[in-house]
Amino acid sequence: MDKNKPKKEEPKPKIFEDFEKTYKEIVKIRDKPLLVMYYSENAGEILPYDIDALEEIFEDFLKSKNKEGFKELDLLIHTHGGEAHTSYRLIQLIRTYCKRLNVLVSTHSHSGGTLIAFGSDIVEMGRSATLSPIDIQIGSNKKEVFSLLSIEKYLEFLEDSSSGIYKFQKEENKTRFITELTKSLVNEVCPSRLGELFRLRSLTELHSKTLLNNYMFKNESDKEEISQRIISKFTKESPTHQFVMDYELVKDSGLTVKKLDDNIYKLTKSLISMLAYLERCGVICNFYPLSTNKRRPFFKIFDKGKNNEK
Amino acid sequence: MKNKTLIKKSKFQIEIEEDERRLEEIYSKILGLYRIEANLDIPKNNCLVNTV
Repeated sequence: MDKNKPKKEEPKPKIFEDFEKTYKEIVKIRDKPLLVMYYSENAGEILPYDIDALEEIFEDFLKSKNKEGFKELDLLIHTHGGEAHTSYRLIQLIRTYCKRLNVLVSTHSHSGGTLIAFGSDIVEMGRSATLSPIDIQIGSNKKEVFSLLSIEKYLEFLEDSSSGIYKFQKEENKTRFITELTKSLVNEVCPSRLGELFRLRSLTELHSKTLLNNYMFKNESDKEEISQRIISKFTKESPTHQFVMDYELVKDSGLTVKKLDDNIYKLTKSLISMLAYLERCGVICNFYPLSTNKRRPFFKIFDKGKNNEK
Repeated sequence: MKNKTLIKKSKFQIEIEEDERRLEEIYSKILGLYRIEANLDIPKNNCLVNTV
């Protein structure tokens, strides 16, 4: 037996009571259904299979309620991101089921999760909640992962240092300096992978633009300009991929955002903590079949009970 | 002999456990459909993953 493997805890029965009380209070105060998308903190990742899974969750729920969709839906999301195209397709899928969508972030919705937030009508953030750049990273393992932002910042450094720090008098010296350092970049990063990064960046920009134009800024006459400014803030203008953006930074980007009501912030944050506990106890988010490092997400739609239903 | 106290599961606990079983069933079906087995552990290339 592996001694280092953490033992599963037996869930305290009270957790279910607290969980039920908490979600019911959120739904009651907000007066709309709540979709929770929780990805494991250490082993969760947005993957293509989530699309079919989420669709089935929606269909099961709507069938049980004899409904076709929602006028308005709250989405509480907790993720570090994942596959780029899937993030886009997930939010487009959610939008087919609701006319208005509010994305609630009480912890973090990073990277692919930020792209999902771009498809809402409004993002509501808790005081310690963060979004992040939607910068593409590629690599076959964690040690090799690199992002386009790192490369762009390196190229910026070449430009700044050649004209600022070293102040080359002759243009040919400047060119030689830049050429040598660019060569070392290409030695480290295969040119085809560099190309792939730029190609994926333009795809992410297209996804972001489509979402912002179709939902958040659909009624704005200058939506193209607004979207472009926001996308720049979340890509080229971000200092690093690891950079996180709190409420103030997100507001400054131009995204439609407001602060989560204090009570709802506490309730949603507590719901996320309870989900993390239930994951630790093995109640939710178990590993994919045959996988040792990836856990399934937890998706559930909460609504008022039959007695409270309108 | 010790008396074992059986803790009755609440309706909501049963609901959450059933949801998890439903998700497991859905994912097994999807992964089976795409014939995906152990290769889930291989990272994808176009990830918008934040490693903070």
